[in-house]
Amino acid sequence: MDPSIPTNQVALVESNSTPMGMQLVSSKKTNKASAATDIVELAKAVQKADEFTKANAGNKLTVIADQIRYLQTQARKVLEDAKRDASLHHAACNIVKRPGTMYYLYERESGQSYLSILSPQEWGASCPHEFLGAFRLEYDQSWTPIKEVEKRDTENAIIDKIYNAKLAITAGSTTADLLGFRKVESSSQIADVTEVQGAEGDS
Amino acid sequence: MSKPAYKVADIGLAEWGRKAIEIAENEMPGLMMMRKMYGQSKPLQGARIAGCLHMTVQTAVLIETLEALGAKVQWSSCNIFSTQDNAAAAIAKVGIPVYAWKGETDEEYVWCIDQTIYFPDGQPLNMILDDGGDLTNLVHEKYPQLLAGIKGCSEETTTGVHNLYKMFAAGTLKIPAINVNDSVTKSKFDNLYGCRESLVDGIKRATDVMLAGKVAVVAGYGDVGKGCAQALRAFGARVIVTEIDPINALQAAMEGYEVATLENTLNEARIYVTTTGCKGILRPEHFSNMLEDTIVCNIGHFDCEIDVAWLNANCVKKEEIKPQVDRYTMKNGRHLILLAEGRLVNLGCAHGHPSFVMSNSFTNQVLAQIELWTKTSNYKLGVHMLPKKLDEEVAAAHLEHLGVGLTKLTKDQAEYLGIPQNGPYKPNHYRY
Repeated sequence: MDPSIPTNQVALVESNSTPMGMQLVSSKKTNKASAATDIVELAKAVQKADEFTKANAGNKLTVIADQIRYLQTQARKVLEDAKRDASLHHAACNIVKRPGTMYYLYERESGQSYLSILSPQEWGASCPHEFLGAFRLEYDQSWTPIKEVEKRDTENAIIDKIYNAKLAITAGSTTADLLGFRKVESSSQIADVTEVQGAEGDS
Repeated sequence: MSKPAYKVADIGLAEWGRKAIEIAENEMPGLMMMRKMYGQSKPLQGARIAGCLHMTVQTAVLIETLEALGAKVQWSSCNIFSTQDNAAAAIAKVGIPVYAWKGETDEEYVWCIDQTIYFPDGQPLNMILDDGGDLTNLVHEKYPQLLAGIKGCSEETTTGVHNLYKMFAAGTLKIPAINVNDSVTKSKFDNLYGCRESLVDGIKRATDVMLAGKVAVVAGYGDVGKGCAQALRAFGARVIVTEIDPINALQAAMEGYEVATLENTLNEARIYVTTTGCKGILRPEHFSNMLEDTIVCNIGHFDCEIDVAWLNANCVKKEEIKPQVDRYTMKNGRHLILLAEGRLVNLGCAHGHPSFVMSNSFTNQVLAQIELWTKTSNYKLGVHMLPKKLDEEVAAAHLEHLGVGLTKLTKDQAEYLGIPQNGPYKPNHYRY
């Protein structure tokens, strides 16, 4: 018998000395385990089940924990992006900013930072202020750092593709059709009306 | 890295700019006449002109005229806010190197000018067309080695002309220059006729005020003041003029305007326009005694005519009604409406000079460039005026568009007057 398995955890169904009103001669005899290993088998089964349950729950919880961690990072990124976007929008700037344009952030000696359309390459050696970074203004008024521009363009291209494919499916349909207001064809309507009129005349 | 082919705010605006340029062309008959007269002979062949002048739709017509006459042109704007981005884009689109956008920083402004010194083929400029003197100064200070190769410079405006005379007196001017500003067909026309149209345009866009019946005060009766007074009167305003010069004061009186001192207008005037070019015209003691919601604006070159600093420091409240229109609440509870923060109201609240008047200025520029490029030996180091004959030519180029029938002097009459039959018709001291 495996001593490592605590058999006292095995719960057997309560015994009854008069099942269904019939008095057993000896319930002890009736209930006696036939072999010492029986109880161990039962205990083993319980323990295994316990372990599986624990493992299963663990697996599921890990997924949730991962998701929480991911959401936390996402939330942090959203907040950081919002902060960056806001601070870029508030940087000094003499030009009216146009979406789709790359802007270059510089810092003056006074500490004032400002946005410009001139790149450090265009400035060349005569660049008068410290270059802090380049950002593209998007149509949703968010900013994409220059190193993420390619990634964002790829994403946009995919969205474009899906969007255009959808448009192709619905091409030729009218707004009314698309919105579910089915347009009745005028010729058939006229035909219907004459039919009705004809019917009335007949009667 | 080699310099960019151009730098503008948004090249996508080119198509819109082109439409605006096409409309302006019809309103700039002087420049179009230059293209007709010199488009074949191309007198500016070989000229590499670096230009520094407000990059507007009208300037685009000038640039393309210079190119049509055979020149290679590169352009920057002479003011960090005056570029019309659509015009700049249209010019960039046809392959002319232009470096200008609305809202440059001061450092970028210099960068833009700097891009126009060397042309794409590596050759440096050999002509300057300037407005305000910054390009001329930059070349003198940063590229003195190029001065020997530059045949001359034509200057558009008073500030730049002052700078040229100062440089010449100090012996630092190294190239011949033509003062375009003082051509009769330039200053007399844009000051008088330009402001006559744009002053009321600015006031009306800013306030929608009814002018008829109101008392309006015009401080100063020079060319600008004359135009302003006439425009206000044409709308039915009763105009009072203030002057310090007895000649101009008498002129105003003889035109039928009441002439008074500012102090004596305060209890009746609803509109004040300063045109003097002098400082301290509208002062604290005036503001405090003006009528409710009096409109105050300036159309003189500098922004020191109205004491805006005092208003800002001493008002109870300053509210921006819309950009360039501020309503001040004074300590006595009355209000005052200031336009364009005391800067040029026709630029701040309207669109400045119309194309037609700019055609006069710019035709002078074209003729000055031709003179300096083709008659180099006639122009020694110094600051010159365009010959009277060319001034007359500028005016003549605008007559056909207006359907003007010009009378021809007969040989007999010319002999009687003792002047050439084909001009110049007036001596240089004639005042027009």
